[in-house]
Amino acid sequence: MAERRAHGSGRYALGVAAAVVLLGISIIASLGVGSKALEPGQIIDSITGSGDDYVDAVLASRVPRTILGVIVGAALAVAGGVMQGVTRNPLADPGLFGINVGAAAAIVTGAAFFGTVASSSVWLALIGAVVAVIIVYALGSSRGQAGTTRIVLAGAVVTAVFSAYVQAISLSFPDVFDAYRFWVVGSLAGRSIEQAWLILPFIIVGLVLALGLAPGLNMLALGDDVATALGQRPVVVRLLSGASVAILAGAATAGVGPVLFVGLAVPHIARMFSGPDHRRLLPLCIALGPVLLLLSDVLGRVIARPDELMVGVMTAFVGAPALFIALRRLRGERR
Amino acid sequence: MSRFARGAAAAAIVALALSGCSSDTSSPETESAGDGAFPVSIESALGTARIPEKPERIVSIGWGTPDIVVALGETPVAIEEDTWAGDDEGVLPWLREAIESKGDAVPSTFGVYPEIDIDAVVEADPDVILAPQSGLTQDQYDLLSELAPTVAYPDAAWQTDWKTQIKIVAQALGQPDAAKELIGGIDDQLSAAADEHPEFDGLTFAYVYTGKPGELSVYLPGDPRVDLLTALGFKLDPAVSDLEPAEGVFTATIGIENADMLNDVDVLFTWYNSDDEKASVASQELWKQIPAVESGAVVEFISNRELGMATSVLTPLSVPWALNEYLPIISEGVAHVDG
Repeated sequence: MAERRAHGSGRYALGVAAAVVLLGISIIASLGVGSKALEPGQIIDSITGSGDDYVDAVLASRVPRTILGVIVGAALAVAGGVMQGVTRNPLADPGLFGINVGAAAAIVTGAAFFGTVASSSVWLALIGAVVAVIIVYALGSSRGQAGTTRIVLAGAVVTAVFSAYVQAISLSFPDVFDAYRFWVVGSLAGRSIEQAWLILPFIIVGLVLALGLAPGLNMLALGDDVATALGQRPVVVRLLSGASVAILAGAATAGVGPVLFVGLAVPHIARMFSGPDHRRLLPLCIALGPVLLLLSDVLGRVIARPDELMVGVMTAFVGAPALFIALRRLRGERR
Repeated sequence: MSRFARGAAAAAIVALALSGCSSDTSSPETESAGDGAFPVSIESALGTARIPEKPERIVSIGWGTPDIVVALGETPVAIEEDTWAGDDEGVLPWLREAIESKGDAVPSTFGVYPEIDIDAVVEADPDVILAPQSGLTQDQYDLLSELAPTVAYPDAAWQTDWKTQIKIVAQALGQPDAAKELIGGIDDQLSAAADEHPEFDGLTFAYVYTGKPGELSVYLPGDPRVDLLTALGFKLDPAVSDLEPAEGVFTATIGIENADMLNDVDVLFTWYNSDDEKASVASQELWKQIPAVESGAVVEFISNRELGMATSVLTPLSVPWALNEYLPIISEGVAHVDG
């Protein structure tokens, strides 16, 4: 990777510094801006304890969505980075492994046959996500060799089958459909702080696992033969990667519903500063994921006042320009 | 009836249709019943239905229409199923009671989500398809019109007020004069109920639901839920009555951060799909602090879906069925109104 020295330490330091500053700005914006327009003065009064009760309540309601935005944004971005590394496919994102629909399928199954309620859906969503990953991996690999193309095809098949299943159940059990419809939107709003604490442990485990896999992912990039010769075990790296992606994306989906695009776009944006080294890329994803998610959410709160647009609708809208720039650079480097 | 009179009657009906059947249009003098009312043309936002003769086989899509058909002395052969509040066959109780007491066969039901079960409509062999209060799309309308004259909504999906709906159905069945009678009957029942409950008079209300986390959707004037409560003496809170409805629904949606719009509401009406959904809505601090919620002046529908549905339409069958049960529940909410 000597030819990629262009990504020097200076550039990476700049990227990290910029990401941290942006993260701070995003958090402040998420707490300060919403569908209810507040003056800075009102907010300061509220913080100093001399504010209007209603303003206090509005600000308090923005705390859980900000916390959720940070942990879910980090989880999705890292899951995307790991996916892109393990499949060696720059367009991979957690959706490729059927994780969202796997989680959804588990939720409707629980609601239809076991009478579970949406609030207990974190475990179900996780189980569904893990099952989806296992099936995709089993279909997509032969004799332990997971071909990129086969994985993509397997992901498409699993997604199609699970989607059809979810639709069939929803149509057969109208009550399930009502509950599912409420759950299936990607939204940071109206979720409780308990929801955040519920998914946080899973996301921490997933992040630690992913960061630990970074050297292994670097080896995979050289091809299985080289990695094996260097003492890595590609199959183990892939399995653990699959596990970390399932935990991260499953917990994120359980927390706020399906949110696309963050896992696809953020790793590309981060790579502009980190280069292809996963030991640099993944930490930068942890900082940049929340930036994209929170800024999308804030924009969704003001663009349609007094209504709000859900973050699941906004992420593509906000992230697309950045992804476009990143991909152009990627093509430039390939030449 | 002379040929001239027949022509004049038909022209008058067309004129009525063209005027969009607005509630201030007085019904023209026509022969009620008999084939004198046919052929009739009814314009809708999606196209014009030409009904050549009195329809025998009536199919309905959307809410409330079968009730009006039955109140006019006919029985539909097939209707849209109600999966939310209907029985095992998707039929609402007041409709089933009315049809069974007439000794007629209860219509077959068919699904419309995610798409209309066209095979079932074909099988019903309709002479007319009535969908004046529905969410028909232009494509669906065009397809259905191949099967039979189809009557859609005059302005926008789901935004037909109850009086207009009754007039349209009465016209399609060749009984334009009967509409006045049905509307008058409902008006009388509602004003009698309002007289029995002077405590409702002038109280402000809003009728809301949460369709997605962190949102509040507010029903607007013209929606049967709102018009029913207005007829009982309540007043829709001015803070919400001026909001613009979104496409294809009779509601406006605000973020929960704007819940202070509801600060002056005396009584809050709402519905939930389940206790679970209620719990997630009620867990929001911004919901809890709404004055009507704090004081308990809330009328809500959760498990009593049949009543929830009966009070979401305004028809000759639903009003008598719903009022006895609805009024005490409202009174209970009103009892909690502060000061």
